[in-house]
Amino acid sequence: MARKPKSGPASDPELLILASLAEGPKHGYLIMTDVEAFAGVSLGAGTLYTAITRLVDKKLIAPQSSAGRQRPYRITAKGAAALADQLAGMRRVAAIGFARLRPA
Amino acid sequence: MSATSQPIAWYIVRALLRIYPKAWRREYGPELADLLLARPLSIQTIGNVSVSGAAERIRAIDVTTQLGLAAMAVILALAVRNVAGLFVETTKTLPTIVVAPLMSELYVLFLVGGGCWFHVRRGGTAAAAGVQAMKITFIAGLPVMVIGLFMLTDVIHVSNPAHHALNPWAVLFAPLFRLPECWIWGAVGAQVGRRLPRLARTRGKGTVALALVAIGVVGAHAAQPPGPSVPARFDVASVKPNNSGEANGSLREQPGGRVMAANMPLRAIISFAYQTNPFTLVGGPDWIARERFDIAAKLETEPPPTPPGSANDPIALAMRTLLADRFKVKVHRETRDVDAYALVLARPGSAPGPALKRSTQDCSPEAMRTRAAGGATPAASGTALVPSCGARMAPGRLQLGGLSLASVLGPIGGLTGRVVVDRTGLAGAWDFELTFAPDSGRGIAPAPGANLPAPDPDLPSIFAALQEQLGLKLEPTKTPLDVVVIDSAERPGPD
Repeated sequence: MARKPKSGPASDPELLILASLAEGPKHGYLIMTDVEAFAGVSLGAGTLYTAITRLVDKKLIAPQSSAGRQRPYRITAKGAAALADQLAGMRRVAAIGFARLRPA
Repeated sequence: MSATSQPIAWYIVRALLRIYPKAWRREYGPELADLLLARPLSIQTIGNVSVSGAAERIRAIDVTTQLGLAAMAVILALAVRNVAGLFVETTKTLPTIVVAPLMSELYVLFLVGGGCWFHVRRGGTAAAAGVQAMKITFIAGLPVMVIGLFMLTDVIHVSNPAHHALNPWAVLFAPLFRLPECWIWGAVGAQVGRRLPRLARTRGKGTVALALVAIGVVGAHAAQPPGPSVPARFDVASVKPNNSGEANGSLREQPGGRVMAANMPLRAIISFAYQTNPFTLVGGPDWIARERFDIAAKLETEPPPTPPGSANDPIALAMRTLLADRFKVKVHRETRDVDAYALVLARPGSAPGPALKRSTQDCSPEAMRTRAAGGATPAASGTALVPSCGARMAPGRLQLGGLSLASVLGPIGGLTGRVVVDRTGLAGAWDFELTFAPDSGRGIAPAPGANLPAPDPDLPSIFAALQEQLGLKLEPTKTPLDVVVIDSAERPGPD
């Protein structure tokens, strides 16, 4: 459950986590702060870990072995493809939306 | 919320993590705990994690159990609705007859035994044993569900009048509604099975075997048909319109749980069923006061004796079911402010009229019982004409002996056509005889053909008689009254 300053597809926690991990492996706290910084969406800890659980189950992200308690997660190839697919869809919608907003 | 101090936060985080299922905690627990402790805990965070934990827990439960929980939620909702229904008269009935065999104590014992066996033989968990119990119940309930389906599609018609009010939808879903209970009993059985070996070790095999036999005997005994319970439904009933045009009618309870209504308007039958008087039964179509019916009905067994007019009279309760089945009578109860008369002293603060005398008789229930047992006669009354004990009404005459004024409020209400409330402040027992013009009130008209004496122009109206003879008067007022409102009624089909 995200605390939503924004709504719509760009506030979907799973999408935001995938977008964050596209940059490189991160653990939970870093994902949270990164998402807050680049999307302005404050993910609750429960929401974050519910989304991480789903993404791991769907094999879109994978935990990396770590010596500490905080495990980093990396995006899988399947996850990168899913993210690209979703972003392409959003780009299409965004392009059409902006085009229609232009004054005639 | 401001940040909480670290040790308290640690306890809160630990409690929050307990919401998640164990397997999830093993996988993600430490990192979530670290993340939560890295920032000040806010109310939003606690709420967010609680919801997430609950969602994970529900997700971890297998589908069958999720269905069971959903069914339990439905049952809870139905229970709430039923409790709310205690305050509203409804005509819906639950299929207790069809469901009863499924939930007899013997069946519960069978489920517990099944759960126990499942655990002992297969090492199944309590949850798995519960699922087994649900499967057993579902299979056992299939015939019931088929009956419900056939009732819905009119393939079979319920001919037994005792089952007329069965709702086909309720029959169809009854076994499903029972699944959560069966899950619990199966799980209980597994728990019993889990403890059996240790009990056998510590208490001895003989003791455990004896205890199991005792449980079996008690269970089997409990599963015996209960004693002479009286269902709120007639075993047989016949309803026929009466078009004879006769003025007189009667409704009588008879020995053996029988009731006979002859040439009675439906309104009067409803009034009997709901134990109302003309003031406390309102609404309904006009024809229910006009059209008359003969009803002959009998309970399966002789009901236990109940005081006349008791709200729990089994025959009256069964009559409600019959009215709902055959006449589609729907009622509800409410409190209304109704027009009434207050019985007050004509001259406040002064003595009552000459004919109203404080009684020298003791007509309390205790004295009446003693008198009935010993045959002693009551103390002499001040007026020979006044009944020794009680209230008596005849056309143009109302007598009271040794009772409170409350005893005549009903008859005066009948004469005046309004509820009468006592505001005289005259406590205790009274004697009087009141004479008045028989048709002087505005109340219920006498039955057509009733043998009334010729009107005497010199006799006062009931209103004037009360004032002149008893020093009391009737003042118009409003009073709250619990009434039964007839929402709807239909003419019955043939038997």
